[in-house]
Parts: sequence; C-alpha cells; structure tokens
Amino acid sequence: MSTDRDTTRIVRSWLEEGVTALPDRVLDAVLDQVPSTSQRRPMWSARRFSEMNNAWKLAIAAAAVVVVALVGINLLPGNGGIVAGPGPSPTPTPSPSPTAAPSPSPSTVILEGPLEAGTYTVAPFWHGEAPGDYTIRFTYTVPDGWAGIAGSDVVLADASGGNLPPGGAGLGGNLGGGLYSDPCWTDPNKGPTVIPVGPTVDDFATALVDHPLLDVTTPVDVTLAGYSGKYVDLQVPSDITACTAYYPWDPNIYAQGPGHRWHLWILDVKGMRVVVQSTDYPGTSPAHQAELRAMVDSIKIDATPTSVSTRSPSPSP
Amino acid sequence: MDTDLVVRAQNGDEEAFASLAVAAGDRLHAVAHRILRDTDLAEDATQQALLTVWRDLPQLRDPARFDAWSYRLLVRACYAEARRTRRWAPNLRVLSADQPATADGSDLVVDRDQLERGFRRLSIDHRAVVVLHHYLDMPLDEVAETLGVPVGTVRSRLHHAMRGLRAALDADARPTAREATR
Repeated sequence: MSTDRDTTRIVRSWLEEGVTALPDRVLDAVLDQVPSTSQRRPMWSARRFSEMNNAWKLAIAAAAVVVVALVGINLLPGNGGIVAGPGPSPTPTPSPSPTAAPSPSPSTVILEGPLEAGTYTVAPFWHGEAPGDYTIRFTYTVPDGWAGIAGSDVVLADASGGNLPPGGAGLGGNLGGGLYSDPCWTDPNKGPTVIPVGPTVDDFATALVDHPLLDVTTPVDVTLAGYSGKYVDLQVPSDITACTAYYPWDPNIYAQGPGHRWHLWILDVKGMRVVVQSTDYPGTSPAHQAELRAMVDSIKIDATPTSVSTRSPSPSP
Repeated sequence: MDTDLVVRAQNGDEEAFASLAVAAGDRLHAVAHRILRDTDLAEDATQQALLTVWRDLPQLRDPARFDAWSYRLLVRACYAEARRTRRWAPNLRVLSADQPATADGSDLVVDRDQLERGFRRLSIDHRAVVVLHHYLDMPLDEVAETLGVPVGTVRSRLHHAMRGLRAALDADARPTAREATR
C-alpha cells in the first residue's frame, strides 16, 4: 500500500522521465507559418486600472513627456501605436520631472493609464492595418475618470471596471472584416469559418444584419466627424458561458462579457471603411453612457497617407 | 523569459518571436508530452500553442507573465489534441482501479507501467494540474491562474488525480494481454 508521500515521490520521479526537446522540424514548421499568420490585436484590455501601481503610473507619465517632446520636433511615428495630437506645439516645454502628469492640452498623447480630462489623439490601427497605407487618427475629448489603452482606445478607469461587465464602457476603432460563421468560439485555438465581406460600408452593415447568429439593429444613415456611413448596434447575448470567446469578426475585439453592447459607426473615410466603436453594458451608468456618447460626438478623424506624413514634417504655425 | 523579446514579438518582430519560440519550445513540448503521453500529439499541441502565442501575443497585457500565459495556451492546445485523438484512438483499454493489488509495488518498472495507465485514465483537466504542480513545481495558486480556474478547483483536481494514481500504483495492473496504448 502506497502512502501519499510515496505516491508523490514516485509520480514526481516518473514525470521527470521522458522527452523534453522540441524537434527542429516542429519549430521550423511554426516559424514557417509565422509570416502568413496575422497577429490578433485586442482593442483594449480587461485589466482593471485600479491595480496599477504608482511606479507604473510614473513610468507612463515620464514616457508621455518624452513622446510629447518627440512630437515637438516633428518626429511623428508611422501608423499605429503612440501618436501625438493634431496640433503639436513647435516649442514644447516638457517638465524635467519624471513625476509630471500628461498634460490635458490638445497635444497630449494617449499611452496607457488614467487620463486627465482633455483632448487626446489615438492611433486606432497598427502599422499597415489600414488600407492604402494610411495613417488614421482619432481625436476626441475625454472627461475625467477614463484611461488609455495601448495608444489606441479609452476605457473607464474607475470602479466600474474598465470595459468589463457589469458597468464598464470603452471607445475604439476597427475596420470591419469577414464575419465568423459562429461568433461563439468553442475551440480556443481555431475559429469558425469566415464569411467573406466586401470592402464598403454597405457590405459590412448588410453582412452584420444578415448574419443569422448576430443580434444587430437595422442600419441607419449617419454622419460622424464629417464622414457618412451607417450606424448599427450589436448586442452580445446575455449568456456566453458556452463560448471560449465571443468573436464576431477578425480583426476586432472579442466580447468582454455577457450582454456587451457594441455601438458601431461604420464610416466611409476617403474610400476606406473605418468603424468607430463604443461599447457598454445594460449596467453602465447613465452618466458614463452620456460621457461615452459625448466622446463619440467630439471625435475628429484624420486620414493621411503614411508616405506623406513620414516625409513631410508638420508645418510650424 | 526576456520581456524585451516578448514586447518586440508583440509588436510583430518575427525574429524576436523566433528567439522566444526557441527558448520556450522545449519546456512547452515537455509539458505537452507529459500531459498527452504521446509524442505525435505533443508535437502537434506544441506547434499549435506556439502559433497561438504568436497570433495572440498582442493580447498579453503583462509581458512578465509570458511563461504562465504560454502554459495556459499550451494546455488549451492539449485539450484540443485530446479531443481530436479521441475519435481515432478507441483502443485504449481502461483498467479498473479496484483490480487486485500488485505483487511488488516498489518495482519501478511496474510503477511506470501502472502510472502510465492510471495517468491515462485521468482527464486532461486532472493531468494538467498534476504536471503543472508536480513537474513544473508551480504553486497551486499559480496553477489556478494558469488554468483560469479557482484554486479550490485545482486542489480538488489534484486530490482526485493523486488518489487515482495512488490507486493505480496499488493495483495489480500487470497486463494479461498486449494492450494498445493509444
């Protein structure tokens, strides 16, 4: 009769036996597939910002100061990631203090972390993601109590829990795309088949409405930031426990929880389909819903060919 | 793990990912092999997990958590492989835990044989807990975080699994006929 201690010892010894090295051919097969495998970018994080420690906040503040300085000397990056506001000051005066908070002035960038109220610019897409090699930027006015995510989105930063249920909210962008035949993924490693969708606003709006498993409102004509398009709401089911992820299309975010509501402004921006996406839940407070809508209403969209913006420094006022 | 490599790979640097894959490949494969108990399935699971690492790396919020996160993806890949193989490997003979006791429980060869059988009777959920805890020496709370389940569930699974393995060691599992092992 084995004792518990004997069993543990024998099991541990047994587990030490056996192969460990991964054959080169397997590694080669992986690396061969990498160039043709797109990375899946989340629109925002599920992390709660209340968990951020002070050192991280200071690092973010210091990094923001550095980026503002870079903006001032017209060293704007290409498409995606951290970008500057629409009107960079020609003589930025960043504080030398590493504890300086991001300025809420119009030239403030969004990095990651809690934001002061102000106007911010984000790059909602990564390099090369936007069609035609365009640099696309959203600029909008953010109230107190919100936080930046990865230079591309904002979410609630208070006790409502970021973009998580039951009371979270967020704002970001995407480009639409082919729809998954079933948004409820049950195999975490492989999505359902993709239904191809054409490149236009109408293509995407119609595909969403026609999808038998998506709960989408009838598209209505809309104009946002001077660009025309269609507006729809997409309602994530109240029970998605059977899904390892709820993922209507790729590339895009997956649902952050049951009952997630996606408000989609599908716009034609200089011939490109650009989707402004705000999200909330039935439990999101009316005040936060109003703030979210105000941010959307304040949005300005800039689409500049990347080749132009990287060759030509911003004109000095 | 070098977090700088992780960050670079998150930003689409394929060379950085190649370095990550080389560094992580052996340990992921070792864990997959111990969970699945099959070389081919373990290679497939590791390959799938590494590709998923590349695809989903931008979603990893804390690069310092890369190791735990990659184990989580690996375990998911093991689930998928186990489900896939269930359809084409019906010949696994399942032994009863209450068969007569073995003649010599200290015999390591017999132990291995019995453990192999006992382990194969466990679900992937239970195997993963045993491997993460007893092979990787992960504390139970870290196992819970890696698998995305409450720590109480991990304790329960570990208790159940170890009880099953102990029963297997105590059983007379000496086969009377050749058995298919997959």
